[in-house]
Amino acid sequence: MSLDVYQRLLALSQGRAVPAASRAHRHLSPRPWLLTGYHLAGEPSAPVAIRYGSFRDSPKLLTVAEPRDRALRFAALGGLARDLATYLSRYTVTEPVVRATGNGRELDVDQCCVDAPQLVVPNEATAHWVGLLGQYLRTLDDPVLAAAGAHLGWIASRRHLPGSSVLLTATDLLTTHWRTGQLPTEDGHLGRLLAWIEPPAGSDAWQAARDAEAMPPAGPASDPSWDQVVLRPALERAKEQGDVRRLKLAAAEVLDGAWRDTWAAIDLVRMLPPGEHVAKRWESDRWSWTRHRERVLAGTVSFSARLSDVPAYRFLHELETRTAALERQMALDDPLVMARYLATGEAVAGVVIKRDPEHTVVNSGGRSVLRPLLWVRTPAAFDRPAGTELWWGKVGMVVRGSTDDTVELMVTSGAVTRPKLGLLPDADAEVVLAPFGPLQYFPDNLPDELPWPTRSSRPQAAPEPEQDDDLDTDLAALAPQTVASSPDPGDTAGAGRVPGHRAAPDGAVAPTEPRGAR
Amino acid sequence: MSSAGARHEAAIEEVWDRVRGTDRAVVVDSPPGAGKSTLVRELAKRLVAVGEHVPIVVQTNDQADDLVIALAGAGLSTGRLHGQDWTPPAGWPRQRVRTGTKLGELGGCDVIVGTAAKWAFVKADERTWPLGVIDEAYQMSAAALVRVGHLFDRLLLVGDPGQLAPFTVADEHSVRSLATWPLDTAAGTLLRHHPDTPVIPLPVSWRLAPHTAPVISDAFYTRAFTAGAAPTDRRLELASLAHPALAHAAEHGWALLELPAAHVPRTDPALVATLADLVHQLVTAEVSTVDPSGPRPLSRADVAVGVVHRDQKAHVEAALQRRGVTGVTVDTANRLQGRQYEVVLAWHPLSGRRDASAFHLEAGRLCVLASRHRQACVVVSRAGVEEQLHAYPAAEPVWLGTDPPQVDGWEANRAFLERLNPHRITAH
Amino acid sequence: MDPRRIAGLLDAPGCRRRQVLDAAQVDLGLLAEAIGAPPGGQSPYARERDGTFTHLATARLPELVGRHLGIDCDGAVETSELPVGAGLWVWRSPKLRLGGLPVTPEQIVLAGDGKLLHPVEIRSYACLDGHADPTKVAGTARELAVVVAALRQAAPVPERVSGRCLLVLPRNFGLAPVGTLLDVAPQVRRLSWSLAQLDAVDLPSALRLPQLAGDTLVSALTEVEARFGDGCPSCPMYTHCRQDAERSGTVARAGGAAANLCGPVGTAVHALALAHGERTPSGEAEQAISDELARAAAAYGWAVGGSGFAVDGKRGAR
Repeated sequence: MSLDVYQRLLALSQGRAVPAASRAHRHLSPRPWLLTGYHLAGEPSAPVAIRYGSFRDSPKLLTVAEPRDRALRFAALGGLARDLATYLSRYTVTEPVVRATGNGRELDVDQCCVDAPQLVVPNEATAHWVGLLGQYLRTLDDPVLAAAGAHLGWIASRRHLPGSSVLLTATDLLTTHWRTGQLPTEDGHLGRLLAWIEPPAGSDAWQAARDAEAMPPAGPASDPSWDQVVLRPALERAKEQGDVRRLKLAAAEVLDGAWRDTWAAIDLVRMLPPGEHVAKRWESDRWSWTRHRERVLAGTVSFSARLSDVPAYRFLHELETRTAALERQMALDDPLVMARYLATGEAVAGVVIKRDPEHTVVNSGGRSVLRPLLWVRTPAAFDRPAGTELWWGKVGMVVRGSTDDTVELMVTSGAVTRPKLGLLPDADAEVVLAPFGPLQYFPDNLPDELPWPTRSSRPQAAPEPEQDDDLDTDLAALAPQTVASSPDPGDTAGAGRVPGHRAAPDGAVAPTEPRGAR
Repeated sequence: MSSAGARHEAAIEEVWDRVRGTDRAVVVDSPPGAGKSTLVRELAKRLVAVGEHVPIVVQTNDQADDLVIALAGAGLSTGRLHGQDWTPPAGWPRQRVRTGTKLGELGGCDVIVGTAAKWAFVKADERTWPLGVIDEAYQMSAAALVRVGHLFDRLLLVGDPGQLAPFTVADEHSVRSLATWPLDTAAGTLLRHHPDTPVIPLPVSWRLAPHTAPVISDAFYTRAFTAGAAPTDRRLELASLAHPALAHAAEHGWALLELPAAHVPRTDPALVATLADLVHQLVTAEVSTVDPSGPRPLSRADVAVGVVHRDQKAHVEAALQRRGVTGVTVDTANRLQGRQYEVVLAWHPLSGRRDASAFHLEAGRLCVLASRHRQACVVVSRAGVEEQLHAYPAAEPVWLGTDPPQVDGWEANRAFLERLNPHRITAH
Repeated sequence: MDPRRIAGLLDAPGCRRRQVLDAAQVDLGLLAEAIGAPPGGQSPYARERDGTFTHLATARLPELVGRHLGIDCDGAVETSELPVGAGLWVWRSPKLRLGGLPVTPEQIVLAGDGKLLHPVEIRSYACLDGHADPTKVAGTARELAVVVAALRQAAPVPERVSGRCLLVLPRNFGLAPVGTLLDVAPQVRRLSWSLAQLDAVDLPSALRLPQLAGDTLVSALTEVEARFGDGCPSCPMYTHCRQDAERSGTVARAGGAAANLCGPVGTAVHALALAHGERTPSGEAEQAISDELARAAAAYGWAVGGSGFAVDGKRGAR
């Protein structure tokens, strides 16, 4: 979009981010639960340290002296699971709400939680990790851990739904509301992003962003040299001497930045007035939370990591509906978002200079029907052809023609009966005509089960055996020498070993963080 | 009968045998203009003749309207199942077609035509059919098939595999997290789940000209096809002063009109003006189109401009309006699917860009634009498309467990451009 | 060069500096040192995991090869040439060539079904419920394409080397190996095209000297034109080119979308001057860019200027 480019160029030349929104388009809980952390490179189910909680000044810190030791991991994650349960227990109060049911014609009273929990993490990689952590916890037999896994599973399931605010990432919060002058991929680095939005006094964004890169990344995968220089000695000391002080210090030091930055992102967006539709979208999150709680209480909560069958198609329908709704709602809530459509020429801003509410046309059935006309003066020529559809709220119209400074429009819906003529804009009113009208919701029309053309007629091939799935990175499961050695691809090509031929730092660098970001 | 005609007839009879046989599903792969619509009409006639009721699922209202007009013209008792907002197009055979928003209003019709979106509202407990026909089965997504599949005991799917892949507004990464791929084509998903389904290719394109069909076949299709028309069958006769690109295309079927290389916004005003001028010349000069049915003047309805983005459509339409030209179709690739014209002027998807993108490289997009014509296609572009193809990083994400597309967009673009090289005309 | 390095040719084929960097086989360690880039490399923990998984997966290869490729074998056999027939082979330190470039993987594992040879690749990133990070899989596919192409160049019958490879990854959170077939045909096609281009890359004379380092290396590379864009953060020259881009004020610093829209207008200052009507566009391309940006500037001005325009159909000003 051309506005996006213009804003990036402005930011680039000013050395400072420019606003991309004038309203907050995400719900911000008064008491979010923040989580930032690290896992062992390449091993999402082996956390090294996690900092979490709802209190900015007194976060909890969890460390695992040997992340690959299942017992130690259990103990550490148990604390997190209990704290999460305590946080979630604040969101159990319900209120009666009247809602339409069935085909939309009947009303029913239902109980909905008055508020829902919100998890905020620094970046996309951490959000992804939250889902993995939940998935991992659900494989465990411990009821407290499994319950935490179920909750994290619900939280993570909201992540991909446009408009949901249950799981927020600080980078998404900031890129939704500001534009920087750097590469969009560089916007995935929280420190850099903040440097663009609020560079320290006396520093431009470029320098501030480079300084931010020099700090440890925001997790959950750390950078290779920090692993080597700081983490490894700390973990060894903890493991061999039982002394975790050095590990705690290292963890606190490295997690501090991300913790502070995540709060800073929340603070920045809190300064914006919320968009009008935000509460409505949060209500859908509250309903989802309510249903999730009911399932937890009934013991019927279940997750599949990847949806298949009819639920997969239902999910696509929901994604599409929500994507379209979010785009429109943001534009209607926020002139800075609507400006994107003005910039592309899809929307028109102008002043109504003349009206003909009595104008009629003869329809295909031979009847004369009311189709009011409007003339709108525009600052520049509207270059879309006759027949283009535009909306002013619920009033739909088509372009009849345009000159260098005027567009002639015929109203075709929303105000085409005499009682509704009052809904037309007044003469002299300043209007923005949008390229979209009120969103129409369609039922998903999905059957209860997949029909034969989309199901296999043959029996499924036997899945691969799963019996060794718990072949864990657990110390106990491995021959000691394979873990104790630090095989270097260069010198482990001994008999029987087939090391991968590469120096790829798979999993060693968080995918959203640019190389050199450290 | 020509050998092309014989091969086509043989394919049609094979389809008919399969339809009357025991296969649960039959897929017909039809390259552009291979007689798909005729096939659907012919099969509907034969099925009705043996006492069957024929439900037909199409993808857009335009396709439904076109098909209904054709079926009614063939004397079939046809019903049009439509949505609330539908209005009949000009020339609608009101007397011969029943229309309704509900199945119950179409009782007694032998053939019922509706869009997939509309059929999705029909409940299986209302009625099911022994055989359903799906037209444009490569435009239709698996998600749409899931919503109508239960209505039919058996299915005949007919479509052009060189179409645009089904599209979603949703984020691709989110959709890819699913264990199924709901944006697979209807034909693709059916073949995946029922690998024994017979696939019958129609071997002859009756639309494309003898010198344009091989280019399309080579660049965009895995199953080769040929043109049905003989080299001497068709001709475009132009006044002597015609633009060199039009003159070249009239003779060779193709022209690649290249404007000077430049990086420009996607509504490139020079490209808009060039297209509008070419159209203006085509519809105002004396041009006749000749085929075995004889010569006739080229009308405005015979000409289309294919573009990539809706704002390009808007700009070209506005430019045509300024030149006083109306009645010429200007539309994006996805809306031109299934349509045919004598002459098509195509906006090359990569024209004027600095970097190619997956959207602009999609094989189906270029294929649709380049395969709507009967006589000639003029591709208009800024020079420098090769460089974009050269510079395109091979960094597309690879999703485990999915096969690479049968036709790779980058490769198809490269092959197409190579084949158009001899038809390059430089604009000044 | 290892396959990963050669696969880098597909990362940014439009950037001449990057192509030259690879064509001249510049030592990346020396380069990082010369431009002051952070040392890359792998975390010791990732390395350990890698070694452990490779060890476990290797032991299970016969079973995986049997299940996915239908090849019956007891274990991998050492080979020092391209094998023939059916079985499973490990070829250590093969000396292959691709075009004019040396390809020297540490080893290649090959599974033969009697007709075709399928490369087998073990990686340690997780396959969660059949789903692996598509960016990582794409990277592996590009490297496998190098192996396939180099083997084809070495093979008497190139068609015997299959593009369908077996990728072995750890399943879910554990280390149980799981196999998936990966067709790298598109990557092989792109690679062969890129290599043809590489032949045409004329190395600057300075870079023909072996083992350049420090400032000499940097200035030799800087002689060659770069093309800054969205893929740059993964390039070894990133930190250097980025600073270049910042100094020159190029629109490309803000990403591919900006560079695409601005076309021939090179700097942000120039583009903004056009947007704000402070500069007369020269030529029709610049005019078009100017119109587009001016409309964006007007829309932005309208939005931040706090206007009374109503967008929601409610009467009166907001």
